[in-house]
Amino acid sequence: MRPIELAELSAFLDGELSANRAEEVRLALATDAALKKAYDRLAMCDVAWKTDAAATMFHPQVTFQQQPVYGQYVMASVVALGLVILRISFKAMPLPYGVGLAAILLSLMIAWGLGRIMLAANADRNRFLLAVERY
Amino acid sequence: MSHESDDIRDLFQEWVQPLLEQAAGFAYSYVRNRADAEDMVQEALWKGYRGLKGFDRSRPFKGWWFAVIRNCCLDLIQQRQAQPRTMPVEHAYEVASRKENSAEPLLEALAHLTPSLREILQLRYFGGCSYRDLAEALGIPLGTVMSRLHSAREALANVYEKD
Repeated sequence: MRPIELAELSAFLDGELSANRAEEVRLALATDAALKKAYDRLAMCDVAWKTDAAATMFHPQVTFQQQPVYGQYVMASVVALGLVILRISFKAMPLPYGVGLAAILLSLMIAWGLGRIMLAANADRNRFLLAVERY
Repeated sequence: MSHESDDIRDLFQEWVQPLLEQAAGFAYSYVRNRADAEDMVQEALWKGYRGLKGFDRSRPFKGWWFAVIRNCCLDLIQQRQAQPRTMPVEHAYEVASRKENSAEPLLEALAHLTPSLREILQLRYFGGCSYRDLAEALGIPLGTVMSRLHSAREALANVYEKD
């Protein structure tokens, strides 16, 4: 059997040793008084520190909201520029065609805008809220 | 909102929900007040969600996310050092009542350790991290986790014995 390293006492305490090695440590602790003393000191400290650390735990009041990402700003700028170019090109057409196409474009923009509003409203309803009352 | 985004969001919520209290305690061990700890968990939620697509799901999520929390806390501490701020009244009360908090002796003892020993103990005791989580959060092998954790425990026990 390999000699027991002190670091393995920590791993044994934490249940992180393999089953075979844990058994070897258990046997060593039963026969080696110095090793047992070191282990008991470690175990006592571990319990005290776990108890003290637990006093800091609390349930945080947090929410999740998706932050706007850089790509969305770029997309919005490209769309706005495209609309401006389209509008200018309509002005170059004969009046009835230009007015007709502008009306179609305006309808599409309104429909798209309404769709985004409805999606955002649905997203807002589905936004998960991680706040839980502690008591 | 796309279907894929909903799936990722639901998955993230499922992973994060059981870890919130430990996350808050872990953040508290760095920033030493509840309000800032809550802010750090919130910030880590946003950062974690944004980074989730790049996260390798074969790796321990807790270790990965607690590393995010740790980095948020360290950034805040650096900001505090660069720009000392005035303390709101409610924080002053919290500071004054620290001696009644049973974690304060532990936190003060941890301040005597080197950063590498301190952070592994913070992850272990405040974060409740397993050895796999520790290895992931600190970017070290499992064998190093074992030896470093033991060294940290010995150092902390010595600090207590000196006091």
